[in-house]
Amino acid sequence: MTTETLINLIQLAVTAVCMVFALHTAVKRESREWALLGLFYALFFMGDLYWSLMLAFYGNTPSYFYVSEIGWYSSYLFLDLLLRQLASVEEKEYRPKALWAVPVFTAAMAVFYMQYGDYMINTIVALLMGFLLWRSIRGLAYTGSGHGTAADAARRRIYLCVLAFCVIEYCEWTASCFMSKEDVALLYFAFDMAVTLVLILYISALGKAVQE
Amino acid sequence: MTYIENIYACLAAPLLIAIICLKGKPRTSLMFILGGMTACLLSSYISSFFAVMTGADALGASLEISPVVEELMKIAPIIFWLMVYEPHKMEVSIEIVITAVGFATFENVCYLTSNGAASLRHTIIRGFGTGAMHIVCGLIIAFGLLYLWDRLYLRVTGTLGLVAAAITYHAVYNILVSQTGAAFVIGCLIPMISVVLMLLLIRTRIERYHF
Repeated sequence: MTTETLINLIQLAVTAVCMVFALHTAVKRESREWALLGLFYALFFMGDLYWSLMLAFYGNTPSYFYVSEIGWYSSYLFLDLLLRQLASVEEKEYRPKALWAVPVFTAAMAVFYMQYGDYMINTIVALLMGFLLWRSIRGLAYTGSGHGTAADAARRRIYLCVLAFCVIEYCEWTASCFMSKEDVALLYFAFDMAVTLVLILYISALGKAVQE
Repeated sequence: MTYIENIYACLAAPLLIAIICLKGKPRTSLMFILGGMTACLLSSYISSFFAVMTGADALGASLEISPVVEELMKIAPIIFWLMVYEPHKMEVSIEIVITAVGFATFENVCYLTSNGAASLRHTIIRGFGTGAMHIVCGLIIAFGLLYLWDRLYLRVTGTLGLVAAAITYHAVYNILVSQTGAAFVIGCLIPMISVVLMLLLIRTRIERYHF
């Protein structure tokens, strides 16, 4: 069993367990927030599963269409909906100027990744990551500035998790551009494991945010 | 060679007459069955077009192109309905499943015309496997929308995300049933297991809405 297969299996198991937990909680509490997190996990899981099955049965990654990418990037969409759902009205109106660094960063990274990959996919990723980074950094800035209530402060964990998730994903994608070097490949797998750990942390972070 | 247009004309004719004769909810439901069948017919053309465009073989098209095209086409009649009218969320959820029924029925008829119906085992596997899979894909979107209906941004982006969930589910099913042995058996069982799990998970919600 290769390192990649092992990490994929761990990530599949983690996302499957988290998906069942989040969807079950969503139904039990009739909570839209948990439903959105459950759908995030479900899509992440199915994107991973499709990718792993293609590797296992056909020995190569999908070559005609972006089925796994549809799963992964739609999962970002649900994460973005979750952050939007959690934010208070005041928080949505809070726009420090530093936030404009986010679209600049995501656009620059997209241009860099386009040297290695597809234009369309990288544009979509830049947009989705832009929204996630924007909302998480805005949430952290708002709750850290002392403007908010106790309920606002309770959302800090989920914002931290999303920020960590985005940063690690960017590190992983950057490492994947130089995968031919052995030490970089190890770094890539380390980032993949870090993503898996952050995926687990979402559960407790949302629990705290919704409880308050 | 299967003349799917001829099969479509034969199956659509009585539905069309019934649609003209009936009124109210039965008419709407029959329209969505016809919509699902039309979506299936168009999907086969569009999938073939993309397969030729990308140079995919039959297996590649079935694993990577068909799930995307079929799920997008399946939701098309509902999107049109949503844009023209303002239906209630329960009505939308029910009609999504009915569209999936129309789609699965037409696909099964075409499959039986091409492959014959001599083996009961194969027809049952087809019915409870691929047929049920289409219904599960419809249920994913239908139940998801019940949670994401209230606000417009949730409804629009949520529908997109739920269609993506249906696409990946469909693609995973197609990979599994393209194998032999244990993977094939798991693939055939997944739709029915999914139906049971979904019913268990959302039993209370179904009871409340009389779904």
